[in-house]
Amino acid sequence: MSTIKKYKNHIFANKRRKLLGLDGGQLIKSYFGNSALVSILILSLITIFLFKEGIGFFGQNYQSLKLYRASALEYVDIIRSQNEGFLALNRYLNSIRTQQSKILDEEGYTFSEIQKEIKKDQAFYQNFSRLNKEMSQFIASIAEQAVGIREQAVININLKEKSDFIDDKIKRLRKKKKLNDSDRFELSQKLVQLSNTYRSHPEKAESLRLRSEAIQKNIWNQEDLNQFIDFLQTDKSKIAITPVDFETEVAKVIARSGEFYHLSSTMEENLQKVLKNPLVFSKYPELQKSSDRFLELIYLFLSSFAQTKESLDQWSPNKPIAPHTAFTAFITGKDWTTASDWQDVYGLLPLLTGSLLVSGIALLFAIPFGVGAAIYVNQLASLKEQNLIKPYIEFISAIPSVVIGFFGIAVFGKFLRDFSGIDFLSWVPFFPISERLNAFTAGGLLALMAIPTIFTLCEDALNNVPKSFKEASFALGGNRLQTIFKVIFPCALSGIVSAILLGFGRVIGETMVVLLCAGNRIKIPDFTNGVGTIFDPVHTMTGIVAQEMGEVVNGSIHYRALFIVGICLFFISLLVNYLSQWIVRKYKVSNG
Amino acid sequence: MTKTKEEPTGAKVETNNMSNSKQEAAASSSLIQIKDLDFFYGSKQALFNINLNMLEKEVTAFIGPSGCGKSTLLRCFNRMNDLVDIARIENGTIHIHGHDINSEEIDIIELRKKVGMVFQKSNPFPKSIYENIAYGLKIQGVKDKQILDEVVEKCLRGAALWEEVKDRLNENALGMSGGQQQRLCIARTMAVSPNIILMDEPCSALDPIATAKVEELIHELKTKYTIVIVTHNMQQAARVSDKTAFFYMGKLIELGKTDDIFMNPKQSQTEAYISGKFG
Repeated sequence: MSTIKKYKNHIFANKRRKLLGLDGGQLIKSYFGNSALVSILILSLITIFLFKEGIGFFGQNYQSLKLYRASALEYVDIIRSQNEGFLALNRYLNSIRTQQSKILDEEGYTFSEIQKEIKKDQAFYQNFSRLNKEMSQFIASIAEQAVGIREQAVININLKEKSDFIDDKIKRLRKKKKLNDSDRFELSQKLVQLSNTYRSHPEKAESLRLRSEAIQKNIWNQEDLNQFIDFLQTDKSKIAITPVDFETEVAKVIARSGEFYHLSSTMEENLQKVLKNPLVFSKYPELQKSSDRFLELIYLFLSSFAQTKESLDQWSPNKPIAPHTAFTAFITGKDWTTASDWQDVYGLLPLLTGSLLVSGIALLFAIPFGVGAAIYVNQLASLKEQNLIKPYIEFISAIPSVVIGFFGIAVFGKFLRDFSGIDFLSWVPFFPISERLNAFTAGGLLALMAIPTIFTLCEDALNNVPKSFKEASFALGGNRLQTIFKVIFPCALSGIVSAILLGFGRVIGETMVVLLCAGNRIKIPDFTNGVGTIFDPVHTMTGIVAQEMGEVVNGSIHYRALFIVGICLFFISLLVNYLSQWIVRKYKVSNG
Repeated sequence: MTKTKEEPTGAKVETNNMSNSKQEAAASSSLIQIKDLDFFYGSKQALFNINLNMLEKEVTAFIGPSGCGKSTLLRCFNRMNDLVDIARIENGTIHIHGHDINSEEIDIIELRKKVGMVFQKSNPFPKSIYENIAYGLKIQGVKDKQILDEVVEKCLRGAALWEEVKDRLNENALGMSGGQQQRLCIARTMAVSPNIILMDEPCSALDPIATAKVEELIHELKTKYTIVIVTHNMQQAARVSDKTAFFYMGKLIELGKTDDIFMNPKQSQTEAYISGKFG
């Protein structure tokens, strides 16, 4: 004791006050350390949660694909695809008809004259569209059959789940011999139900009610527990699973292929007749060209029959599905169909391409504006202008995205459509546009959100170019523009590229604006018809998650599919961020 | 405060030493003539009533403690101070080749071509060695590869760098050593064929060996160019310059032949500075 006291009075003795064995400096250090630790922990928890919820998708998707084949839905889809071909032909014919009336209209015919002119060909049009009437009926009935098989299978799966659940519960009760809250509630309910059946024995019913009340108050004995197990077992025995006899059921579907071949050959005969008596427009070479093309398309369609027959013959419900299909079907899937009475399809491509298209349009605007403004502010503007422009551009990022979104709906989209409708601009191939909300509207507004990011980071990059480069260029007789474009811009290029990438990351992760303004039509943008496709509505990865997450059943395949979309977004952002850092590191320019 | 009152007289004493006729004769033959120059950064005066003449093909060294205005004056000669928003010349004129360089008619780009500058810290562009030299010509619109090749070789030889880098002209200039980089900057300045080369403490970031090489180069350049060099190193000023100007607190205290300034300074402040009593 005395030695301690001696040291306490020593001039070098540590006299700082301590809390939990730590002095002030150490406390602050541990506070900051722990803050960093907590944020890392939360981030990893989010990642783990994302993966935990999402990864089950592939298993479920695999089961779904298996069921698709086992219940012959796939078989019916082959038949349907042939009919789709016919429908496409019919659409083409309709376009000829529209073209015809348009040409007549342009030639100055009156409405009634046009009607008269078209009437001559009306029979042809009508006959053609009736050609697949029987086929459609057949497909509807065979589809119903296949869906029936699947329904039964799905019901069985659900019943199986239910009975497994009861099994688990019985096992637990037998092992632990305890009733938890929900068990007691369930048991008391069942007792009340039972008491209601004893109308003729009011005493017995009364005793059951009393027991039920006692159990609710957590007063129970072994007898009650056994009673509960009895109840559960009766419940379980009531679940009757009649297994689906896939083989016979599917055989029934396949057996109808004869019917299909018969209908096909009838259709073929009819089409041959059409080929012999085609539409003739001797006065209008343009229409004649379309008509000839129509005949070509019919030939193509007929030649596809053999292909269909081959696929149908080769099809077998027992052919195994490779496990990786669950993954590839998602990544390369061209469709996203949910809650349909046919097969649900979860394909990433329409969403990914939609997101990329919208972001691409956004960058198309944001890069010139953002980089241009940064160069102006950093190199050309006076101090006064800098102080005015910088906060204004940075202020844009303070606008809530939902405000930008409804501005897009109410003002920008409407303006765009009205603008495209001006007669003066009718020479633009894709004007007037039909949709108010489309990829271009969303992209234009997203550009507004990317500009502050690109501007600020670009300005930083330009600022980081050593002033001595600028001085050297001026001292050699360079003017302002030469100095900017030959010295400063190349030096800042890596920073500028990384700013653009981060701007891209900003827009591809943006949700509200695309949800409100992109039109939300799930379709891969098809540029074979020209660049006018940028005025088509699209759906995006962020938009679909925001739109559908609130409505899905927890744990369902749809729910998990949305998580996988989220994971894909996560990876895209990660990649973009990593790439931008890598570019800056790799191409960093420093002075000496 | 007392000092500031003293010094204007000091400067006047210096100029008054020469007779009027002598002064005019010197002015007419000199390449750079500075008359009554007052220079401000915002409201702060950095140069007070500077009068100075420099002859052609002569090396003039500016010496003085930090912040005395010698670099500011140097940067007036090619109007580098234009880049600083708050910098302005209040009074006085600078004539080069008899032209007032601050007048409206002067093309600043032409001026900077004639008055080259080498900076304190070597600042080659992050381009190849070749591109660094060719930059000055390229921005003038010279595209002929042959001319560019010739000029690059001539300038590199002029800067005694050719033998060291002739095999790696296309490598990035930032990969060179500090001394090489500084000599490259000198070569780059020569490419636009200036008459005057301004050097702002060109050796302050170099080791003694690299410094010796640059000084040797200055000796060679003297035959072709008028050189103004700002230096903190008084031995260097003594070694390379013909004339030396001593600045203190924004005023030109003394100007004279280098030998005279170092051996026989007329002003007490000069003597104090040279003998290391302050600065």
